[in-house]
Amino acid sequence: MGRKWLRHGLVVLLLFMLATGITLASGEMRVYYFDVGQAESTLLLGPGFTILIDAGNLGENDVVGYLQKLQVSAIDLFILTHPHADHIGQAVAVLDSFAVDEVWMSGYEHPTALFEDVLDAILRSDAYYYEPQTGEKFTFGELDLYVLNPAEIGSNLHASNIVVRAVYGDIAFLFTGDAERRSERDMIQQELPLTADVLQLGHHGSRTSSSLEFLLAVRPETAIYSAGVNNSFGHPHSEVLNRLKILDVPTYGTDCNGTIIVQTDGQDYIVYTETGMPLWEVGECLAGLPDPNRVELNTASFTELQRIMHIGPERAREIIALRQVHALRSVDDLKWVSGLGVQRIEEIKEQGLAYVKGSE
Amino acid sequence: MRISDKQWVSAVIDRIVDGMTAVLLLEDQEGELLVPLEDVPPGSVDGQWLLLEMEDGLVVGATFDEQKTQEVKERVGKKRALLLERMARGRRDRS
Repeated sequence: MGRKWLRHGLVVLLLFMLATGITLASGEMRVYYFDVGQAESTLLLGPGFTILIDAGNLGENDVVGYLQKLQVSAIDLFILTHPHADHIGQAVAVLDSFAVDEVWMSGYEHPTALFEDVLDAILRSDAYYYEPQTGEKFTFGELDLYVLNPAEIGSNLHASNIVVRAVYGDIAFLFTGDAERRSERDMIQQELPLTADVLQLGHHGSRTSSSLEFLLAVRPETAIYSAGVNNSFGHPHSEVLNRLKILDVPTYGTDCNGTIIVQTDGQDYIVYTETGMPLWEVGECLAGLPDPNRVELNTASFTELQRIMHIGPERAREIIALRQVHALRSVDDLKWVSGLGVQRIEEIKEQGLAYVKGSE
Repeated sequence: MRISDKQWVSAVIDRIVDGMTAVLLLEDQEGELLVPLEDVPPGSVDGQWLLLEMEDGLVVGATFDEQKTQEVKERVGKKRALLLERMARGRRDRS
């Protein structure tokens, strides 16, 4: 335990030395958990391998920007864990901008126009195509890659999500995409090698994933999730963060820290941020976990919003439409909702139910 | 995003998040809409195409577009089949 805290404690000292340069020392590997908002994209860079897992959100162009900044010219393996738009959003741009040697997909045929565009982009590229399955092992340069999911190709969108365990020397990373509890249970029951030093939390830290039994099987030293600031889904969920807190696992998020980098020499690893900003554990950086007894305006459901006085179905719909355009900054932003003037907003404040995470 | 005036819009359910919110991709891929699950037809699943009745940026009605769903499914299936042919031609030896 002492060693773990030393590892994270070293961050402040080392980030000034490390954050300035992107050139890897011989024998080192870095994993970049890119800050791509409410989406996911992760780059594994090391001796003989450049692997990109997922490609951020539709409507953005940050992934290509990150790769260019890191002077990536070719990608050995491009894994698309599953075909949701927050994971394949910029896959076309990646395929059109970089020489990609091999693409992995789950085999699930998702009938969206975006997914069809990704298939077109792979077809017009020279990339080799593969649908991996549980139990397969591959070697890319000095990295061993174990496929832990799917057990069955293509049958169900969620169950077919690709999960890989990447091992560099003595250090193991687990990348779960949006694997949910059912897949977690399957992986445990198959007695697959799940232990990992660094766990990327499934589904952006949602309660649909990271069950206690899975966390106990993985036994992570460090957990990292990718989520957007004030995202509409309330990710990461407090249940998951509480579990990690009980298990004493330092947890970092891209919403709190921006792009997070884990660097390893194969024997030990350190965690730091791309910008040189201090690395915040999620418990320190969030202004407070969502209060289950209150209603968080940016993440509450249609039904939950109606617990607030003066808010019925129509105004709840308006709030949801409003926050699609811009996250509410405080309860006072309810002034943009029809019929909510100063008086009613004051009454809502007095009721004490409504709040905006980070504004209090 | 907001769409003004009443109109019909074609969109697909990209995903249903946490069993509460449907994320819809508009056909022109110009944006996405997040709507409560109550606002899409019962039985909606990922990959289902819908015709949305929009009014002042809000979804006021939605119906399944089975024909569109089937059309895209068929095209996606054919394109994956081409990729499976590429896969069958032999993989690079990584084992």
